Amino acid sequence: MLRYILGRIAGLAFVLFAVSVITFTLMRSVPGGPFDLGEQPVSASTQRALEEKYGLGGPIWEQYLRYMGNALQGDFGVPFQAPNLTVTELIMDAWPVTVAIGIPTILVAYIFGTILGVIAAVKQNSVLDYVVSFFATLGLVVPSFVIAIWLILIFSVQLKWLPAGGWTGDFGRPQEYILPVIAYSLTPTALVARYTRASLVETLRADYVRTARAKGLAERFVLLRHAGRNALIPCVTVLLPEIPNILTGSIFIEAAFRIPGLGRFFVTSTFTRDYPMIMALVLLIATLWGITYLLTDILYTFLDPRIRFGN
Amino acid sequence: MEPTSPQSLSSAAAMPTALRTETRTRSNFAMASRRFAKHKLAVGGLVLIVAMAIAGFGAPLLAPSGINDASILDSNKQPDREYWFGTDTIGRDYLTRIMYGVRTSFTVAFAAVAVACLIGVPLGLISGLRGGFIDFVIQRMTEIVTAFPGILFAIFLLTIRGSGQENVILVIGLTSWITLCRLTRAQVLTLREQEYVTAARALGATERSIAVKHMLPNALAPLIVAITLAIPTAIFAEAGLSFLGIGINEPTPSLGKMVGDSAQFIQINWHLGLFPSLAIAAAMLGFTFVGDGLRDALDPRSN
Repeated sequence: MLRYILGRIAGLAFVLFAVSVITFTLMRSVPGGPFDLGEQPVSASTQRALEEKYGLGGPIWEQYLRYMGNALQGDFGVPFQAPNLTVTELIMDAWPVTVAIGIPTILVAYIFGTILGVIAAVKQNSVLDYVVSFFATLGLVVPSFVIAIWLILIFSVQLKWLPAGGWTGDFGRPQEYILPVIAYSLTPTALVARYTRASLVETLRADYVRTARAKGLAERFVLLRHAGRNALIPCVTVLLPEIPNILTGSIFIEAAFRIPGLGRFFVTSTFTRDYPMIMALVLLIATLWGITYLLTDILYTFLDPRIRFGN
Repeated sequence: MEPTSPQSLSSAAAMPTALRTETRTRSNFAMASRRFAKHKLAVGGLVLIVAMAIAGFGAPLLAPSGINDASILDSNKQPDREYWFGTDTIGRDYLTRIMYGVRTSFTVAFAAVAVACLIGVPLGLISGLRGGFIDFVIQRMTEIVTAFPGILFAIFLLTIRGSGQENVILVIGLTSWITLCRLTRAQVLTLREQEYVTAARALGATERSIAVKHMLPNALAPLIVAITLAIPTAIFAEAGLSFLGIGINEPTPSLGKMVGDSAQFIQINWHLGLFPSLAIAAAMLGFTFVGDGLRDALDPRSN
């Protein structure tokens, strides 16, 4: 087990290394740089001084090693779009907002997804089942920003119950959470509901469930104690890999509801060739992605002891 | 189902007419079509996307006005008898814009999926057939592309190469070949062990002809399903990039851009947001239903 985990961590480190090298070389190999401002040309010596200051001098591998050396010590440099801050400060300013939307989204997705999936499975092939399946397909297929527009049209334009977007203060007001969380959680809710239904339907046909019923156990007991435990395994493995995505935010949701989260930096950083910021964002997302995948696989073996490592 | 051989034909000829029609051999295609036709949602989806395709690609003939015709006096009109979907902020007929938007959306999606196929399928074939070091390299490559945030890569390429239809196609193609590559490889790995492949090899067929003549046709059913389901994803990608303002540019109409632009006027001009968002949802649902129907029809064992 330990050997397997160490191997996986080594694989993860390799992928992260490759991602960082590719990002770094891609960024530097394209025409245009952060200091070629068309309107205010700077002299060659100023340009050199700027490059020196931001660690852009010397051959590319040297720049890479310098950046990664600092990054591994937690220093991701200075963002070109806000030179009075550090990259870490800039991310730490925006990330809490994204996480504040992300955590309720995960909770809603998990709780409602499971409940809807269980209802659909227990009432299999009923009208209720079809309604749940229809909404699950809608949630999986229709893009979140389209849902966002519909929610705005219904709840803020027509009914005038909720604001159409915006964010007050550091953590917003409660009514500013409702529409973004609904729009954002629809896809993961649909995902969980669909997998819960499929898995529970399968489990309810298993021999041990029939045995439990034959013993005369109450249906509620059969569902919760016998079928539920096994049926919920896919939920864990399906939703877990979504968590890093949700926690790093949706650029679409943040654009649709004007939420000042991490999302906007994806666009602004590439437009301004903000190398340190791009690197930090890519590393952040790739690391979170890798760790969650590893955790999912490990958690899987705890939930289902039949699965062994290394096979 | 019985194979069509001279023997079965002659025995069928000897039978009474009523029996003969029942035992008539059906081609794979006919059987698949019958299974597809039973799938109501899939047929509905097919009707929907055919209608949208006619409206979109037939827009030069069918649309009520020209693609860029604007009459500024009629700007921001709510839907009425003259303008069924209203007009936009500079007075262009919104129904016309949406029809052309559907055309853009379908064109980009088909072309992008074609790019994804051209990259993913050959890589998957090579990876599965060759195995060993080449397989290892291609597999690590797909892992790296998966770890790389796709949206960032897309924005990045578009800022370098500039936005516009061709570049959007390229970017979406370059970020969506992974699934097709993995699927082709998995298919090859299964088919490689089949007896008819061994037989072909024993008869001295070259690796190339085994791959193209024997394996590809048998791997086709799941690939067609995956390709159909890649189309809504590509539609979403185009709409999303344009929504953010980095995809298709004015004056080319894009449904995603229309939704994005509508946000600032949505309090007054609700129709600007509603109609393009409905069109995106309809296109994506249509292709998804068709894809699900095709899966049931072509690959009855899966599911």
